[in-house]
Amino acid sequence: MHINLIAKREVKVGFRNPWSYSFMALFSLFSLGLLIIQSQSYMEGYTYTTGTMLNLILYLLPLMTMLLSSFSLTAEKEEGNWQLLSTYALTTSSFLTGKYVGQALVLIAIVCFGYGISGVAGLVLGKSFAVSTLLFLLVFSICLILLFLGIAMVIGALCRNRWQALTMGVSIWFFYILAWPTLLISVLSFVPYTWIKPLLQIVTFFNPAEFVRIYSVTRLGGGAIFGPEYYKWIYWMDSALGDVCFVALCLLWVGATLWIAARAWERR
Amino acid sequence: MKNAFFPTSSTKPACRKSLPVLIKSLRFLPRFIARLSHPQKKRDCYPECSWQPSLQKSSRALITKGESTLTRTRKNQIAFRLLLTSSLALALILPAAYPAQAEASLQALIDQAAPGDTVTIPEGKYEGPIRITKPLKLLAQGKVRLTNPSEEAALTIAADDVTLQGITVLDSRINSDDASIIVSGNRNLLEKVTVETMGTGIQLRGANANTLRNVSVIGKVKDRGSTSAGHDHSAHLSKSASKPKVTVQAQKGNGIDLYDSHDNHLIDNQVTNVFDGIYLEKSTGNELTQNRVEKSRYGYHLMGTTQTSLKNNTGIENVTGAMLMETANATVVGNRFLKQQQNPNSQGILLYDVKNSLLADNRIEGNRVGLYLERSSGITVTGNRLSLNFVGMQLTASTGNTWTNNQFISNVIAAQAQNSETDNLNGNYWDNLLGLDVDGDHKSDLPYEMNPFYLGLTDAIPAYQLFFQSPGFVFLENLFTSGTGSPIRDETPLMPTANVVSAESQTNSNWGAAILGLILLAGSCTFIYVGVKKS
Repeated sequence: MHINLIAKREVKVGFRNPWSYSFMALFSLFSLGLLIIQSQSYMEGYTYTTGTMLNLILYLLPLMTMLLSSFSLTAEKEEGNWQLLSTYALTTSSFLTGKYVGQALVLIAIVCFGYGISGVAGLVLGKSFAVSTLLFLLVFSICLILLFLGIAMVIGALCRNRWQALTMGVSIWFFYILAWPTLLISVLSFVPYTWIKPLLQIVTFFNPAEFVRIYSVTRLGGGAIFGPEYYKWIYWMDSALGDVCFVALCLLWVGATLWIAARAWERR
Repeated sequence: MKNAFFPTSSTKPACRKSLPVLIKSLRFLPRFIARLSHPQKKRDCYPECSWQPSLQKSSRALITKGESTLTRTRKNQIAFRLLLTSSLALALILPAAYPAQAEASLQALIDQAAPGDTVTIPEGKYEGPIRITKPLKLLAQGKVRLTNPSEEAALTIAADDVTLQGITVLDSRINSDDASIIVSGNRNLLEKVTVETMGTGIQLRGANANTLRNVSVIGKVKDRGSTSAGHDHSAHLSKSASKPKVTVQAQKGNGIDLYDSHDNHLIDNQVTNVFDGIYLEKSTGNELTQNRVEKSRYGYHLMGTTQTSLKNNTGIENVTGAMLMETANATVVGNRFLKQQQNPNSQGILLYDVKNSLLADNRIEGNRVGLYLERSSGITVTGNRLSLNFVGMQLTASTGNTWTNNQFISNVIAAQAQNSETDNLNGNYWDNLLGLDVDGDHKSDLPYEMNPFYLGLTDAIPAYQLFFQSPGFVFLENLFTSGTGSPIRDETPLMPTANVVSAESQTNSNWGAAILGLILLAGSCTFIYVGVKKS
């Protein structure tokens, strides 16, 4: 019940936040950009266009999610709302879960608005997305939002104010999105050759951006590009069991990050 | 009872089988009769041998008496056996004679025909093996189906100038070295022949200037599951067993297999679900035109060939469309290689150690790697269209090749090169080029550079292929290439021209997407409105 209340309040506060609208404008612009990219080329399966679109979304969405949501959490501390809420019989976990659900709804609404605009604009411009493409991008984006929202909760719980959250959010974004291969390649050069592949596979599970990307590319039929090394992995991922496991992995990731966030929140 | 006295194992099936099998079984008869006339060789197995212990302790007279009884019983037996043999032979020949007239007459028809005759095969079912050893024209009338109960090839053409038309061969032998049809003569013509095989479809062995037109080979071996039961040893055992239970895993054979065969023409053939669709080894001057290979390992596999021409062929959903190895002077023109992408080792065209060849006007679409060159030189690649591949082109350790006028469109990565140098890479179209045309000659003044970083890295450690097009990896790649002049670069890449762009853009207004967009838009707006209003 508390979760429900907190989530409702979060949605209300979220949509009164001017940051949400600036991100919505940015994302709408961005999805119109995607529309123009895709209209110049083919969209079926894994192509240059789909690859580029996935990467663009991977650049923008995690950063957006982490900033918006960690700010919302630190704001609770900065503005003293949490002290007020603490007087009620409210557990940290239900508070954070409520925040998570509310933020997720806000972000999904923003993304839906953006893709909705480009879907309608496609008709007006005569260069439309295919329905499957639009749905694929939407699902891909929602996955990223839900996973990075968990990280945002941890950031929000750890940081005292917005500036700390901003620093941490950007550095995590940089670590996960930009520096990830570079760091791995340099670190893995110190381990024995035979360890590289298993370590890389294990580590991939700790980077939501990577495993969502690999899963998406595989679902687009491009799994073979990862080479013979991952053939069994990709083959398995492309099966029905792979879908189930992917969902399970996402839930596990969200659950784990929320748990860590709750622990961190209580320590403060 | 009869079978108990007749020790050759092949007689029993021969009762129902055709004449050749019967003849084969009759070969055992003289040996059997010879054995009957010298029964003492096998003395110890006869029941009357039980008198022997008494022989040891008895006198000479007893022995002579014993011998005389023995000879008497033997004579009786011989008479009895001769009777049996004759009745058995009759029993064998009579039932075999009737179906032999209907079914086994194909070999007889062939044997009767004089060289140069035209033999019309009436509609019906026939049984192999069939052997053609003189120039004949064999034309099927209606549906002619040739099954093959033997262990040999269903059909062997060991003659020149044979024409074979309209026959269907159904061959269920597994793991045999011999194909369903073996051609070892010259200037033969196989037309409208269908082969359904569990092994290799057609083999050309030392056969020159033959023509295969409109032949279709259909591999019947299902793709292997995870359980791989059996091996060669058990295959051997199952042959001798009375009822072979097939537990052996059948291996796919090639569709059309040429070895040491020159100047053949393969036109309009179709091959499905085999190992290598069309395989050429140590063969010169063969022409492959308008063939189509699907769902096989390699579509066209050239191994140590020269002067081969591949024109207007199609390869779809194979592991690799065309595999050219240790080949020289090949001409690969106007082919289509589509959707070789399911296997992690897939390519559209792979060239390994190929010299002085021409690749022109091919359409290479939707493959894992469109065109892969390794250790090849003197290749002219021109006018090809590589689109929608994961990687358009990969170059490894290749030098002295010419690339002009190719189109690279919507590949996830257009081209990668490593340890390669080229003399001539000019005027190709790269759709992801950030070009600049100052002097208006429709060629960019900025070069297009291929990136050696990914290939170099994954060559050393294949596990890093997981980073393919990862946003961070693209970032890293750009860090490594900026400034360093890659040795492989297109100095004058084409700017997008009207015809290239029009070929790409497929604009369509999609109501479905618009409706979905509208729903999303309306949904999010009402959600925001309700969310804000609620107090």
